[in-house]
Amino acid sequence: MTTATVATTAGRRASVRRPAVAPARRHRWWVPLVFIGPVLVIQVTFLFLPLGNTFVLAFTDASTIGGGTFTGWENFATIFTSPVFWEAAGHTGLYLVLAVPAIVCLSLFLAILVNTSMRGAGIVRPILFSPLVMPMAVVALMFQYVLSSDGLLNQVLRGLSIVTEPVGFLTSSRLALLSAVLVTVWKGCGLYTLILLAALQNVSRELDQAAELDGASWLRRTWSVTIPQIRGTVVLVAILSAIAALRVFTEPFVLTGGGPGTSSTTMVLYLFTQGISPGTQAGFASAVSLVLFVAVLLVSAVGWSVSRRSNR
Amino acid sequence: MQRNIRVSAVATVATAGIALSGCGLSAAPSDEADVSGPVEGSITFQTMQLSPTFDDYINGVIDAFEQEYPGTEVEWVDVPSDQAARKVAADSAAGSLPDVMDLDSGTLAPLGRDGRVLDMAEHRGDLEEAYVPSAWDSFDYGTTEVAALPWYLNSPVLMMNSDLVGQAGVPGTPATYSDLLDAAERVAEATGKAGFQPTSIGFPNYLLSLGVPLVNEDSTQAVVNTPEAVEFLEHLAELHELGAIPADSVTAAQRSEIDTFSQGDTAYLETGPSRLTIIQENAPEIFEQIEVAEPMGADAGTTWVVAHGLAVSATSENAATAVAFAEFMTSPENQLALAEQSSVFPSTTASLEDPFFSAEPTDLATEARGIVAQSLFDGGTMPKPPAVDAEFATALWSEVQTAITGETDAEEALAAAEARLTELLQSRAQ
Repeated sequence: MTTATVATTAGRRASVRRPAVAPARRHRWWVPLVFIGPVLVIQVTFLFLPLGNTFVLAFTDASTIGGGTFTGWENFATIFTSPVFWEAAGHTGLYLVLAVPAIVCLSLFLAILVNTSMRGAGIVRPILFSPLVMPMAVVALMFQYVLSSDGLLNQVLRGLSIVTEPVGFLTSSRLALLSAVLVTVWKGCGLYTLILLAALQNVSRELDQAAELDGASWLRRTWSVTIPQIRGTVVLVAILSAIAALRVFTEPFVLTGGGPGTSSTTMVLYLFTQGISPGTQAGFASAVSLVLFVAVLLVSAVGWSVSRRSNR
Repeated sequence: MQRNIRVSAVATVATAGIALSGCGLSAAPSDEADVSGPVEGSITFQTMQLSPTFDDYINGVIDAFEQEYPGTEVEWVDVPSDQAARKVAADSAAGSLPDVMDLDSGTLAPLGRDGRVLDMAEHRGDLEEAYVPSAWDSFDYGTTEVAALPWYLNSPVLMMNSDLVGQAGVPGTPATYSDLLDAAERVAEATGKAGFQPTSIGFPNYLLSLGVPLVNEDSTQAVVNTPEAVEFLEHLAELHELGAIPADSVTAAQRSEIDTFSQGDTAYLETGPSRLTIIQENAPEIFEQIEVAEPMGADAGTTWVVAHGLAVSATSENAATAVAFAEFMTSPENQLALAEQSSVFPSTTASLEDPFFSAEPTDLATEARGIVAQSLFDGGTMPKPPAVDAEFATALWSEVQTAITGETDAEEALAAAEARLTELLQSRAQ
């Protein structure tokens, strides 16, 4: 009976509307193209073609001024046997391990703090978000003045008699990378605090109040009630900051130029030195960028998987 | 039918994508441009950051050229200095280099090594005698013997903060980099200030003036680990420990040595005379203290020189016109006219003989101008080996940074530098 009705209805519709619908259907395939066309052209021109070009160049010995022949997997073999590459990969890994937890914890702490109705929160908020609007190159230059041998931080440390000689924040192999991480954390916290704050403002107050009535402390309520409700956003912040850490360039480039030696050279900085200047190895640098691309994909996939699990 | 259209569209896009994906694989030109033809037709002329300051001068020379060679047309384009290298690389990869390019010897190096510009030694070798020898030799990249006709030059003077030098009681003016290190030590001991700031770009010059060749005869091996280099590096490390060079020198940004000198934090600065204007504007009280002297190695003929030249693309369709224009632009008269309204130096010896350069100095700028012109004219300058470009200098500096800060041994650092630079040179040779 149902089938017959459907069939009947469908048949009636078809018989009534066929003349009007048929011409529209004939042309429908290009209608979406009109809407997505401009974006598609931009994406293809500035994203997919360069990506394809990078993929092709990675298998050649091309220089940045042209030339080059196909060399198969040779660039990748060179990459994986290059000590400088592994050093740069190690620094990037260290960057990830240091910067991501620091950003997540600090942003979460600040977001919770700003979300409370504490006195002065209205002043603290714009201060927290100010790094967000500053270009990274400006931030890095600013920190260069703060961290230099006669910079603000060294003057404070010497003024407080904590050190007698200036600390080489930018010139010591042991501290140069940490200084760059510090800048990344300072700059990144504003954005991630904003994201977490938005999530916190959607958290149900009833659960918190119920826990408070049960005698749970602020710390206990935050840890056991509030944070679990924004777990998905915390994971998102971790993924975004991890991807940013993998792609870090400006901070070490401006602060130390990757030095001293190669002690603060990250993968993107290594890529830059290998294939940006005229005459350098565009093919090899393209291969490095593909390796970096795969690393970012892997981190994103892991993060996505964790995110899905945490949302269940 | 619709399916066919869609399949065709996708296939077209994919084919275009694959074809365009091969961008950057253009080979070096096999057929060199013909320079024997008539001087006529249109050419493009690219300069590095000369507009708007020198609009009148450049347009005037172009007009004069077009009048002298009827039927020619020169289209002038100017690019910012910091974008010139990338534009040249992109143009080269796309096979659309300008006909005539104003480039410094470092930026021109990849094109010269790859034979993408005309060899002027082959086409205008008769002009060699007209130019300062170090300028002519600055464009020797092996495969292309002279990749450009030399245009304007820059070479340094030694600027001294007379207050700091006087307090330190440094006897005489340093004539070599070794003297400079000794003077820096005295300045630090007496004043607590640094003597001078070593730089990544300057480091190869320091070694060259000490007799370290940097590369072997055919530029396939780096030669930087010599006893002279080890001694110099160890001395720099001692100065770092003493505070006789700024603590942040190793990771300082390029050109920051001018800032430290302008702030009165260093006693000596070896740089081009044009910096005097910057210091006068930014630090008038330090400018009052400045004395200028001959640069390091002027007596030994090892002072550095940075040469800009006019290179002609090997694929130029009007190569004869392009070469004629390069010659016209770099003629002694036109170079002198440029020098008279700027702080650069001409590359032709005839221009350097003009009284403009030998007149009695009236201020620091004219004194510095006379010193540099004399040094260029008397053969006091030396070109860097063509393989020693910015990439080479950066890699060398990167390896010696930790030796300067005392974290690694000087000899080990130079051995590592030699290995890394040899790898770089061999990758270029392939």
